[in-house]
Amino acid sequence: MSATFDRRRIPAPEHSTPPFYEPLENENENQAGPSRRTDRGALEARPIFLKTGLISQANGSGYIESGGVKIACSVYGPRPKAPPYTPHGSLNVEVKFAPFASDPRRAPLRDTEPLPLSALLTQSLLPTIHLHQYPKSSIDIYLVVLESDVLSNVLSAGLTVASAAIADAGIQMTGLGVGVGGVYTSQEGEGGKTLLDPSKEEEKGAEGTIVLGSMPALGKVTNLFLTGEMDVDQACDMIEKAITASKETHTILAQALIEGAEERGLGATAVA
Amino acid sequence: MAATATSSAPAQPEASTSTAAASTSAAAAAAVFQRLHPSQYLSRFLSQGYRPDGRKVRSWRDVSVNVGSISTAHGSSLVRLGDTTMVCGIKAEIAEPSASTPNEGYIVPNIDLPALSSSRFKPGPPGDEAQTFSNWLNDLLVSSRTIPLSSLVIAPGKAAWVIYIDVVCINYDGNAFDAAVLAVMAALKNARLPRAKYDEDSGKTICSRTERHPLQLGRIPLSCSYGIFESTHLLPDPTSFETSLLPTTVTIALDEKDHACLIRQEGLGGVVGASGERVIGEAWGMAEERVRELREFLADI
Repeated sequence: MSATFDRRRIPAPEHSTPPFYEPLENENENQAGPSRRTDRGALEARPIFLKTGLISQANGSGYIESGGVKIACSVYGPRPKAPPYTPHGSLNVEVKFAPFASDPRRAPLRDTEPLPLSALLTQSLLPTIHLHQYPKSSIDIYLVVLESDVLSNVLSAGLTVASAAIADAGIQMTGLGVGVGGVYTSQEGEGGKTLLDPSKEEEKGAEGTIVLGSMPALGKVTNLFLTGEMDVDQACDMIEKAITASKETHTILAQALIEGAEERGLGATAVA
Repeated sequence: MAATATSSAPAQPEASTSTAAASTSAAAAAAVFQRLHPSQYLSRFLSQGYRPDGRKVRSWRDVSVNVGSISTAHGSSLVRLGDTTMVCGIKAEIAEPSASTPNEGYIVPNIDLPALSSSRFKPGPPGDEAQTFSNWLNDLLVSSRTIPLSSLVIAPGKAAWVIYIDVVCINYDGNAFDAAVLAVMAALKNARLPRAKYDEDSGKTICSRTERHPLQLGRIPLSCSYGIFESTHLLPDPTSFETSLLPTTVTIALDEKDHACLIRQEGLGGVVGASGERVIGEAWGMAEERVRELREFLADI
């Protein structure tokens, strides 16, 4: 039970629990329809704020706010890699959660989620980068999650912001990668419904989750992560809808890159 | 930066190797000179009364403070000090007080300098610099009693708040400690904890969903850091580039009454022609002025 003693951080009490809140008075109201969405359409994503070039120390960087997710991303490279020689570049992706980024708090060391997340992101990003152009080099991509709600949104926003940062670093790419998250719920409409950019409550009441990584400019899917229980038709329907939505995110991403380039005085050639 | 760089750099004999168009080649030559002879590069700026980022030798960088933007934290802040960017999040949890101090809660401050923030940091557990800063911050908060530990008790011996203070650096351009201290104080002022009640029968602490209260705060220290360059210049608020050239660093933290909360000097003190005592006195005087400026950012939180 007791984790290895961490000498590198200020010691915390061995056990502490997040605040336990008194029960809600209108409990039933809260449970009635976790997936009932009133503020926006089922396929409508919450507004995305994306900006590049905020981290001056990095070769390229991006910051995204999308729904309940805030992620900062920086790219270092291509920089020389330690031997052995490799004919193509190597890609390192590291996702880190700030301890205050989620509810309950993530204690450092005990947090196991970032590893599979990093692996999934690497898989989604690999097809978008021309690694064969960078022999003997490494490209290091670091993401720090400052606020998060559900995993699918962290993954999709992470993919979008990482693409923005890679492009900002001037690294050659096949196309811009874009992530879209969604859930499938049978509680709404006839035969169920797909909700894109789900909130925390919506994901709790959902049967299936999808995260789709794609390069909308080329019409290619780079990674598909689908969990839960649903029919083949429903799965296909979800993928279709996610692909359609990714085009909108792609527009936002491209716009942010143009604005970032203009700020650095590269805009004139990029736009004209 | 560009204006001052071109004004002093073209005079360098090293710059003459470049033969491209005038303005770009001068900037490129200055960049090469900066990399090859960082110490001379800095000293030429200082001899003209300026720093490489365009400010006067004895001036500080611009500050901005933004609070409450992270909804998953009980209190949060984002501080920018020049290009250095720090995010601080406060999370409160409940734990049993230790047997030796049944009337005290806990504070757990940590500063993280992740690989994201600069190429000088490696991914993985906190490095030396982050550990040092975490310890300084802990010393500062404990010794100046910023959060009286007794105010965190919910039921003596049974339940008390644990205040986790986590600072994450997003962009490292030097002087991380000053930015972190300011971020911590802003986040502490921004934090709201739910009203908690310990239930004797169940042994559980129940928190209110509606009632929230701010933290009870004591002295609020703010810190000012300096570097001493080649025993000739006292430089406030050093950038990332300057830090590696400054073997001596001085940090002074002052509270509202200009009483010292922390004074630290690492390395050989003194500036040529002035005793160590006078240099610290000078630094203290500048710190009093700076801390007053910084306090205005905290006033309306």
